Amino acid sequence: MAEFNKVLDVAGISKRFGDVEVLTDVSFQVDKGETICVLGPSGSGKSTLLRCINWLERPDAGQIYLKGERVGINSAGIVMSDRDLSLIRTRIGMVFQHFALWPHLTVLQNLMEAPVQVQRRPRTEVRDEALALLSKVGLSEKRDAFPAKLSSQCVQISCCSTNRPAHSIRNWSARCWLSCGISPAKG
Amino acid sequence: MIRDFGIVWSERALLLSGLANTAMLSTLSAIAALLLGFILTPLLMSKHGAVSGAARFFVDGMRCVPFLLFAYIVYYGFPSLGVRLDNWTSGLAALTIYNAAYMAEILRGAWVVQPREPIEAGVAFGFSETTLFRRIILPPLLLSAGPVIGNQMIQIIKDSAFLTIIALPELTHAASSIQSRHYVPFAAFITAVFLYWGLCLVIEAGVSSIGRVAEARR
Repeated sequence: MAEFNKVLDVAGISKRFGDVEVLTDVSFQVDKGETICVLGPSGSGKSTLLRCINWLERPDAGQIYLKGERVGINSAGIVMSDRDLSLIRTRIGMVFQHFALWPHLTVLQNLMEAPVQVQRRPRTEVRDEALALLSKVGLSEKRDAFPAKLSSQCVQISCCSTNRPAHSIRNWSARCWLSCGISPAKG
Repeated sequence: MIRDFGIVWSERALLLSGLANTAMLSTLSAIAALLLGFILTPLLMSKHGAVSGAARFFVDGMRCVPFLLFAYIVYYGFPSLGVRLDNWTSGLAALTIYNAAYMAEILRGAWVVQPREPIEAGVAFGFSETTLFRRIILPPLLLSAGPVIGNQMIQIIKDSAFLTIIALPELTHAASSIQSRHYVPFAAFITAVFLYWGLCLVIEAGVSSIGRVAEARR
């Protein structure tokens, strides 16, 4: 069972939208601590691939295993309930390409929202961690700003980190990668 | 004419109790309609066709019935079905159910123009459907739809005047009884108009404070 040694095992993923075949039999594996970059021109299916990994997009064919556990399909071979999908998604961090911050919350509240509401972690602990992350990326003074007032991707990456996913998938431009300096997710 | 307004002034206790009743009816049904809207809107947006179809049928049905007719049905028609409600309960129920359809449609309209990614980010973070709606989807909806919701609340205040026909002692009912008692129709109704206007100004003040909250986030 080779896939059990891999953190992420993507096996033969295909996805089409109507007549457009976006992904054709894509396979790769990610080891613990390994960072993989998927590069390509826009429209080549990078985002679709990431969206398939946590089942925001349902792949037409192929399997995805997270530490040996099938994503999207349960042990009985049927599509997971929304609840089970949510559970597995909490283990996969995702950074979106465009403005995916929650507009009604401040920067600090954005960072705290998922850990407090989804993972039910204590508010004070999450707050301390969020403040530490903001200071690390030099955004401490923006903690009470609303997302519309800033360029957002650094904050989203921090969001992804406070959520403490075991693994993260990030849809970002090179510019952002250089400017933020948060280490890849632990684990 | 001054004398007519003097007569209305002498009946101010009646007018004020009418105003209080109108304010209470409108406030309660606006809150209840909005809360019902919070339940109806996700149903309208449901990916299950049967659920969204049923919600759509209700919403479209309500929007095509004149409110006066709906109030008649609830008060005079429901007893034939074995549901006998007093005039207060009928009035509140009619106002609430009728306007819930509008609230749901307003929120749905605001929802479909929301950017997709922040909501998907919530899904990707593992939010459950209800928490996602309550924490991530709804607050921006309320901020962006605030003015339209305020408009609908003004509509609720005006609709409540129809409830005079089921003998609810609200503002129009009070003005009407003052004019019939003293025969001062102009003074009585104009006074009521200004009192309605005052209520609407309160709503507008509320809307503009929501507007300021929204502006800070835009």
